[in-house]
Amino acid sequence: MTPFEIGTSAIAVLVLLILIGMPIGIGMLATSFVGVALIRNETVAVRMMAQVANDSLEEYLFAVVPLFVLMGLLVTVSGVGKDTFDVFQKLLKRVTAGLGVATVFANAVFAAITGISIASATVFSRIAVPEMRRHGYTNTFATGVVAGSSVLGMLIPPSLLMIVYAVLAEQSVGRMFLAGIGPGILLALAFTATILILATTRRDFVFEAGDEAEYDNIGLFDVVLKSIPILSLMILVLGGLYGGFLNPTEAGAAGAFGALVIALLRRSLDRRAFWRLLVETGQITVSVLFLILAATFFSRMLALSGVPRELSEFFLSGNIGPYGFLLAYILLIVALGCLIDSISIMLIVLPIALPVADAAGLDLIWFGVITVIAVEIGLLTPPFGLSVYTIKSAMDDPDLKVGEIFRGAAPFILAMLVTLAIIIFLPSTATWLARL
Amino acid sequence: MNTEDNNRPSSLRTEVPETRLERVWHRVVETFAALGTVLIGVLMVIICADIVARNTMGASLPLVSEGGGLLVVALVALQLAATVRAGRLARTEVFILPFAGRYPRVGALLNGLFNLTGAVVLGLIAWASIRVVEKDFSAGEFIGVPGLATLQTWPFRVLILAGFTIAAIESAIRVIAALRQTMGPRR
Repeated sequence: MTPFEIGTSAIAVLVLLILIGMPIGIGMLATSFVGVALIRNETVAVRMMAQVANDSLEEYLFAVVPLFVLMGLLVTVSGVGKDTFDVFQKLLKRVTAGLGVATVFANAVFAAITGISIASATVFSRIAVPEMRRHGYTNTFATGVVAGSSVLGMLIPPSLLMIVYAVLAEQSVGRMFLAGIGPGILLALAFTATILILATTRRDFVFEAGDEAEYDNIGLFDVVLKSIPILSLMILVLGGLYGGFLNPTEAGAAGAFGALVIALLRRSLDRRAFWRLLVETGQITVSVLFLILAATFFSRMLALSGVPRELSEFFLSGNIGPYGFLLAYILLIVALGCLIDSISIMLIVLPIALPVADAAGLDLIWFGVITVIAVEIGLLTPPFGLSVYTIKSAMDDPDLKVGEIFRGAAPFILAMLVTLAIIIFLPSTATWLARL
Repeated sequence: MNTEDNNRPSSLRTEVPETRLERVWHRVVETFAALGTVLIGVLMVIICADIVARNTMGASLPLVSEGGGLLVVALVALQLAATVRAGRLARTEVFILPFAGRYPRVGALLNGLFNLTGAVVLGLIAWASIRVVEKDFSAGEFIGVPGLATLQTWPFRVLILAGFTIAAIESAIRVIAALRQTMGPRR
């Protein structure tokens, strides 16, 4: 077999193994190992694998993963999300479907202090859904809004997906974060428009009863008071990052520490709960970083096989061109998103696609934003939509069907596709801030 | 990101009563994981200390940036076995969960094969890492600036080696458990 054939077979075998349920990192290591052994020999393969395992994660930057995850989990328990929701509920009381819009905006702001979508989904399914139900919204719509707007968590900085992309594409994490702001706001506006359109044209999708319930009336003073924790965390993390005081890793550490202080001040954390959060942080970190380790080996095997080079020639020399490649790429990611979780998709697809995008002369920051949004669509698509399942398990309501949540999230998938199209045709929405 | 999985059906868990040896082994895995968990806290504290030092005294603390990198590898290696044990390595469940529910024995066999692959791959990494430890030890590899502060790297390499070794063994144990379930009485 030629190296090219070995490379393509390795990809095919890997996809098959992943689909039947082999842990993705293990599958990548195994196929890459066999690939390198066939292209070169076993000794090279063993040494390369050990070198990757020992060296690929030895980066100060990777400390950012556990730190931002810890911060995300801490703000989840600290009640900051509830305060944010209360504030927007007060501000948007008079708007049609105001609670839906409040959920979107609260998520957008909450996204600025958390980098993981499951944190947003968990928090807001417990806060926003019961409140919307009380005010006569349908279950489908209430859970759909929470599922849809939870994707903002990983688009608006800080964001775990942006970090992973920045690492694989060798882009600056700070710039990738900046690139997420514009599209994040755009997506929040698209969600708002979706909600308003639904509330006027398909009322029975949104409401099932008239709204007679009382709103908690909080005063202006409370609004200010409730805004302080989240604003101070935002200033600490984003201000520190863009004011040049902190690098991304330090922003993560400061953010985690700040979130810890807030949680302690509000007495929402005892020693056992804190340990549980640390353990959870550890497991998420290991599952992410182990994937990065495996993907590093996978991309080295691919480089040896020459598959990315041949693929670039195929896409760029023929009449397909960069935009044809982009379209195929997005379709592939959305299809994979139905089956595989976000970070895994990025780690499987990017080693193959990045060299092509680079050869096509695409702006890699812009390409990253497109990748993240396309990957996040997978959080909402059946049968495997992680946000939807997170909401289902956080709600703990046996009457709530997964299918209902998927149906509620569907309009928001449409909004994401529209946003994606806008970003593709107006790249400056993503790159303007990042290239400033 | 595949992190929540409260819905894993019990047919995939292997709940055989623990023997003494298994209890001891369980303890080993948990201890390593706890050490890794503590490292997360350590990481946060030293980086925060570094920020304070740099912004008040105008100088970074020694060893933090290089040491931070080493701590990350160590914490992944230390917790790998516990993650394998908890079934938290990211994977696609659309096929295997319904399949194992429908055909428990074949499903267990398939899971056994996955774990076998894991045991082989992780075992190979561990075996080849022995060389890395030896090299760092005999060459006296260190991080930091001589005269200011230095730290030998080989203890970290030993932690990494140990982490991959116990993760490989944990995977091997899962293989045996899966085989037991495949051969065991029909439920």
